[in-house]
Amino acid sequence: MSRRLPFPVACLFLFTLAGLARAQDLKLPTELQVSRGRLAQVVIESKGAETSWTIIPPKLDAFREYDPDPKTIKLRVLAYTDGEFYLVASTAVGNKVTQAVCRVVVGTPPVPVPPGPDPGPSPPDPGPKPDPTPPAPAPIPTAGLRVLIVEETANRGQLPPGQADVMFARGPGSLWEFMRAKGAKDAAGNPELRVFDKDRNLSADPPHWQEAMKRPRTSLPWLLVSNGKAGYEGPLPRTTEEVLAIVRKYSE
Amino acid sequence: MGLQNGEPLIHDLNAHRHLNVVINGEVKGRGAVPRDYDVQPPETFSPPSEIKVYSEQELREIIREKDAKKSRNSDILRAAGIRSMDQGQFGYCWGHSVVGAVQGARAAQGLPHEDLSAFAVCATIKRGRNEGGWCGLAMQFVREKGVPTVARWPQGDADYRKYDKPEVWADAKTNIVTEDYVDLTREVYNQNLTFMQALSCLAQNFFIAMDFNWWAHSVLGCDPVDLSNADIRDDDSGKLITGPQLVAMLDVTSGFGVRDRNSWTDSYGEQGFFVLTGSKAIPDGAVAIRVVGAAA
Repeated sequence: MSRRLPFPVACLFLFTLAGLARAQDLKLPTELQVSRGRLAQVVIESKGAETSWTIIPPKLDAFREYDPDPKTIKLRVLAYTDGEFYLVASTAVGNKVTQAVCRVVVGTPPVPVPPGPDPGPSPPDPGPKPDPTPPAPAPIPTAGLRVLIVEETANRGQLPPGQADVMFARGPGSLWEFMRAKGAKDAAGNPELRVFDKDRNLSADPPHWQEAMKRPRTSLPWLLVSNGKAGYEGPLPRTTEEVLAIVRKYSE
Repeated sequence: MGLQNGEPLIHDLNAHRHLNVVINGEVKGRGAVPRDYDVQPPETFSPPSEIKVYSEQELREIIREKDAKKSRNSDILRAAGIRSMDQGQFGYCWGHSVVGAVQGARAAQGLPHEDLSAFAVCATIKRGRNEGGWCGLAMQFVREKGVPTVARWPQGDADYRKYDKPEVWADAKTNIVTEDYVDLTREVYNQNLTFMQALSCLAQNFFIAMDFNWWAHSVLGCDPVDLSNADIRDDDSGKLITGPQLVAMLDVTSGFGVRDRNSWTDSYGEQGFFVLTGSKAIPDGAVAIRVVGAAA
């Protein structure tokens, strides 16, 4: 449904826009402030049959999360450097093409210098500014890479096949195989990867899993990733590739 | 896809060969008896209508995907290093199938493996007697009291008085079936629907304990298997079974089989695994486990 525009075409769209547009056929936030190294959600609501999006410059990672409404595009973006980026979306309703732009500000970007007379020597660089938004605490404060998937087992038959494979595949390329290689290990030497029903009683489980299960969730199945310093909490992506893209971020 | 690693296929033409099996010089026990509905009426367990039942086409696609991704229940057991259980010569298969399913459910949840004691379940229910039962009987026990580890109650020991202690049952309460499970009893429901329900449970990575009256045996159900393109050979001659004989055998289960694990050590079949098909694959009683955890 959504696809990336070629970069030169995307630039043309960007530079033809007067300011930041918010069209009736296409809605997304006009601005988004995010922290470096943290996932942030951007929701595009479209009335068109097909919607395209791209990021300028292409230095933000982004992936689409599942939503039952094909015209609701939920993106998760992840930035690695401070700066200013533009998420450009476009669609067509009938013969009318619509674009909308979301300005994504990561950290505290440098103020642009206006053209004019030579302002004189630049003041000495005070050094990098600290990120004004402190990172959220890790979902599991214990050191080591851990993954928790919370599901409703009664609904397991409704899951798309790829999503069920995330939980149970044991072959090469699986989440389990990745955690066996890179994840923390329990006392028995098994990867710290758990798949629990939301109602399971964890009173016999280690405290860090008990506390992780108490954390708020907004949907099921749910993914929690933690390396003791930072982490991710959100809906479980539909494919192993998308899940591993998240888990790898916290494995170093 | 289909059969793998030389695992045996049990069907209508060769089932008789698996009635009295000797492993390492020991005649292995069985012990399943038909369910006594006076003891356990149909409403004991959750109805099977709550589970999603796949169409044949959906099931074939799911089987193909799970074979490729190694996301079958048998893959979960192998990856966890879980070996077949051993009931010895006791008629306690009906407890071993259920406890095997508890171990499998733990592995599916990512929990570290613990060898659990099926003898604790059966010997307590039968007060030490070497006597048959059915999987539902063992499942009701595990739902109420749980299963202790073999560290607390060794396998092979039916002396229930020796182990009937608070610390054993406290240990058992860390492995209780807490979520609804499914009663797939053929007596109440159409038997073809029963088989597809069982395969659907397995396709959703729920482990099942399955009773077979023809075999007087209960085994751990693991994977749905698509045999529609499998080479099925006569055990004696090695020749392919084809034509009307093959059709008659596979038609009953629409070309599907079920991969199970026996409780006769890893020396049976392929590390305890084998496949049932045809009328021999349709269980007379079956229960599926969704969640294992601590008691509330």
